[in-house]
Amino acid sequence: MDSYQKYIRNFSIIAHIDHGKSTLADRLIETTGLVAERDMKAQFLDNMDLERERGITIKLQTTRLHYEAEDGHTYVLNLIDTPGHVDFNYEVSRSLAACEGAVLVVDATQGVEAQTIGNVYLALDENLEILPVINKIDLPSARPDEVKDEIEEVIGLDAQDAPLISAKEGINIEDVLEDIVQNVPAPEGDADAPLRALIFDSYYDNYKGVIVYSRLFDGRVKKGDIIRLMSTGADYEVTEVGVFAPGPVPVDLLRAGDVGYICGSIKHVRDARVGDTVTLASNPAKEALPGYRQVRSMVYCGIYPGEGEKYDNVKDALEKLQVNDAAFVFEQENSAALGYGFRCGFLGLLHMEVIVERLEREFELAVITTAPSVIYKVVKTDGSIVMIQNPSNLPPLTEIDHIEEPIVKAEVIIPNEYVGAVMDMCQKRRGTMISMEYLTETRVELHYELPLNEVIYNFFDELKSRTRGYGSLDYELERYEPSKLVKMDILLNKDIVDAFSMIVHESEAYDRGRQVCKKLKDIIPSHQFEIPIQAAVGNKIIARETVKALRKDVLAKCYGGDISRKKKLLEKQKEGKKRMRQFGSVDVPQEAFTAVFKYDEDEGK
Amino acid sequence: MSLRKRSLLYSNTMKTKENRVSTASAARPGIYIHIPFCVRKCFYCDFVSYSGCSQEAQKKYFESLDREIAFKFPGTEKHKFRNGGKTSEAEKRIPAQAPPAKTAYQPLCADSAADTLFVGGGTPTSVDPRYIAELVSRLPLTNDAELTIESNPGTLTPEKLDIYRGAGFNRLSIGVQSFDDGELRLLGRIHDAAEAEKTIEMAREHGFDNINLDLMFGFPGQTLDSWKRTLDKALSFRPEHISFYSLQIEEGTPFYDMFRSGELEQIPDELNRDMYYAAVSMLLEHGYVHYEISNASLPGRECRHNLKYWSMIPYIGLGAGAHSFDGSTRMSNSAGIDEYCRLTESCSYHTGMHCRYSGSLSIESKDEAFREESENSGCQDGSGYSFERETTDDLISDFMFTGLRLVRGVSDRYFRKLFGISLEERFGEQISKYTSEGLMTFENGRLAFTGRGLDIANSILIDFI
Repeated sequence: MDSYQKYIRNFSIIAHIDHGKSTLADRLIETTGLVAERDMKAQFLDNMDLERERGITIKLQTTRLHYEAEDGHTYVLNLIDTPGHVDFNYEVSRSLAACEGAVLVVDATQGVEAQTIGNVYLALDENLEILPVINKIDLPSARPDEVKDEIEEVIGLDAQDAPLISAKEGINIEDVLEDIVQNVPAPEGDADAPLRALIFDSYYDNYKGVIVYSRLFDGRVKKGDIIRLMSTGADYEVTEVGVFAPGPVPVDLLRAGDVGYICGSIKHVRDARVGDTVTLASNPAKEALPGYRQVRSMVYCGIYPGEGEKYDNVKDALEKLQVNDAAFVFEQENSAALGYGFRCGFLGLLHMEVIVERLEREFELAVITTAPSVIYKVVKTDGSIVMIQNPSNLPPLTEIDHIEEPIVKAEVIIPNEYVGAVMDMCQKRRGTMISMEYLTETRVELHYELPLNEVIYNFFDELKSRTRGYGSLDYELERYEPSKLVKMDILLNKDIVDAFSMIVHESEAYDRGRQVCKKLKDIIPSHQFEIPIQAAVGNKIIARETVKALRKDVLAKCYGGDISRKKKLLEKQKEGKKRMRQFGSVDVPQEAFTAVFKYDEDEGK
Repeated sequence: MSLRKRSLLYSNTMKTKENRVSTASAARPGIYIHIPFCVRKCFYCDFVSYSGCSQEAQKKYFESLDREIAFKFPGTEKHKFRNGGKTSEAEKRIPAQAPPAKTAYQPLCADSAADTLFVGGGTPTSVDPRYIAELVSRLPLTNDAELTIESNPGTLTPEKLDIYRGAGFNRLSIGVQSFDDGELRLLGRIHDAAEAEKTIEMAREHGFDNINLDLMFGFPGQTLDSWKRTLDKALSFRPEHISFYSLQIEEGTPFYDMFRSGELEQIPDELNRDMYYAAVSMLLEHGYVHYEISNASLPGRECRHNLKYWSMIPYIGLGAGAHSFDGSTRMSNSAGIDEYCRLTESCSYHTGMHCRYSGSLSIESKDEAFREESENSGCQDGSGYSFERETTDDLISDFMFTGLRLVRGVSDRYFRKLFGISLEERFGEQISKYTSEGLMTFENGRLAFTGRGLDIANSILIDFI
């Protein structure tokens, strides 16, 4: 450690949802005078509406604070925000890898919760010093002493000296800052060694190009240097380096221990991958930093312009989203039912939901999403292999030798009272239990191998529902495995609607077919004729429901001269019909597409 | 010729005899008077009607109606068109070219007296009959006009009937609804079956030879058999006209709440249709003509007034919540009694009315004039008098969805005449779809619903609006 590094602290804040992570971050920023109070938006770091609303962080924010500690020295505190969901676990782990310590916020009323533990394990994996902080002590129901004991018992961290704070009321915020200064280790690393900087995020700026967020472990970097990204070997000239205050502020030099940004002539965020190591072309490091993993889309779905929406508008919006989201991919596709649209790849279901919601809210687009699907490996009879993520593209049955599906290694952490319920659920979803371990007396970690297609079909929702929100899930791709998979089609009025087609395990086809038909029956309104809804595997009908023909739809009375009111009723009816999607002569409400793939509470029972 | 120009021609059609449409009566406007009082509100009723109003309030209301008549039919107050049911000399003088030259307000159809009057409610027969007789005497009506008054059993007396006859009423509509006492109680009616029978007989005795009975079906508790019994009973009086309505649950009624809370349950659509078909076939068997979705009459006894609503003929509405149509614009009066009364008293009402009609020649300029005026003249929004601009498309929609209520359907010839385009040019796709599906027929120049089409008329009409 050199004298420069001595006064630097790099840390994250981790917490269960709603325990006050963002509020504490705001308060730290405010206390250290970085942002004038009047400029404070509630929860400064979560800068997307969606994030604020859902209380989750999707896009990282990083900021540098200056704090004059009680020892009289001014410290540079780099606060690195972390995203908060299983889909983004890899990003979380890279953010944490950029730190030496983590502030663990625990709600004084709620105590230790599922995500508290999940996050602690992630932080421990990166060997971080963890500083517990008890928040919300201003609430009448706060029970800080019990919560302290809980932290010690459940997590095994010494919490007796944990600061007792209220981020909301600004109580004891200085204690947290002192705690960080005193207990988070200063960064180490050799500023004279070859450059090694960890990329933990990046985003696209219209003026600067891609801004790469990085933590320097060794060496230095400055404007004019030629950097090399070690996973791709690509070289770029550095046009600017700087720090976050919280907006980008250029500096002359970044050196080992610093957290900052590097701009080069990098065109796309996907060229600067999270977890990659930046080095100098002139004096490259011998070894990259550990932990790099290429992020791959695991879940795919079709996104189509909704009724009255323009294809080009959707395309523009997707392009804009992709600029800042290396994990999101899309390409054009064509559906017989829905016309021109896009096949999009995501890290997981939440990632997918976030993108769809952003399309709807930020871009005000009406879109239809089709069933999420994983990538199947189809081995054809001639020995060739095709990867399929759209059920419609499945080759004819006669050409298929067998199909393989992705299997994931899943870790589920739950309170012990739910073990039975969760094991039952994993069983039903074709899971194989590998092991079970008690993390504490009351916390259990289950290790399962599960088909990914079972995980993306509302696994998370069902887990939450079965564990009252206490279950947490992490998974990663393990391998492909042959499986008895079939393509199930849905026919409306005898015509296949390709947007509803899905690949399911043979053993589940009947159940899923019945569920989907039933849901569609409830959603599709009566028409002037009877509509059969059928689920079929190949030529075999496996489930059927019927939407009865409209029997009566007539205004009994229409006089007294009040034509306008009756006309308004008809116009309303007409509007409702217009908003539906037409398949042949059948009108399908747009919500049908998502409803069909949503988990119902009573479904699992 | 563009559609728009055609529509102008249309509004002129209403005013020049040369261009008069199909039937002679069609060209003359109708008058509707709304009497928003009743003894007690029925559980299903969402009409503008109030029970328990004082004599004072009723008197005030009729004074307001008086002012509205004076305003909408300037120059008519001198004439007593009708007098004790006898044709007077005055009657022969109408219609003069009525509007005084300098009145900017163009009465809706000032150059032709109305040939139908419909006094509806509420229960018009629940108020002092002299009020109504007085009103009628001041209206410009032709001597062969159809004058209907709505009534409910339990509100009629021999004296009242004589006064109505004397005032010129020649058609009586009686709200019977059902001949089953239990059902009547459920509907919240104030009368029983015996009273209804008595009322019908009494009306006959007092010279009403054109009677309508309102019947209702499709409410909870009713059975196909009880409905048939009600129909049988009704037919035994051989009324000239029968209206048979399926219960409609309207928001804001006690029924609405009862259905929502589950206290009452809707009868199955199947049963509802069986009841409807039972009615149609029984009526046909007895020689009635089923001429509108919910109306049947002996030949030649269709309700001429209501036909105007379904045939784009102008009508003038008087009273709270009353609607008017001048051939191109639809207007409505404020539905609140107090507000309505207040507005007829204040000059802004007159000013408002006045300017709304000043010298406008086209639909567009009329509309503009309306807007300008309501912005400038201090007769603010919410003056209680609202109007709706009708574009040609609107008029075509109205034409279709009102006209198709008639069992005979809409006439291609009439449509061409009004809009300068044929039904097929305008609705070719819809016509071929629905005729091929057996939901409509297009024969002899008329587009009409089939029986099955009528059942689901709304789902089809939305393709014509």
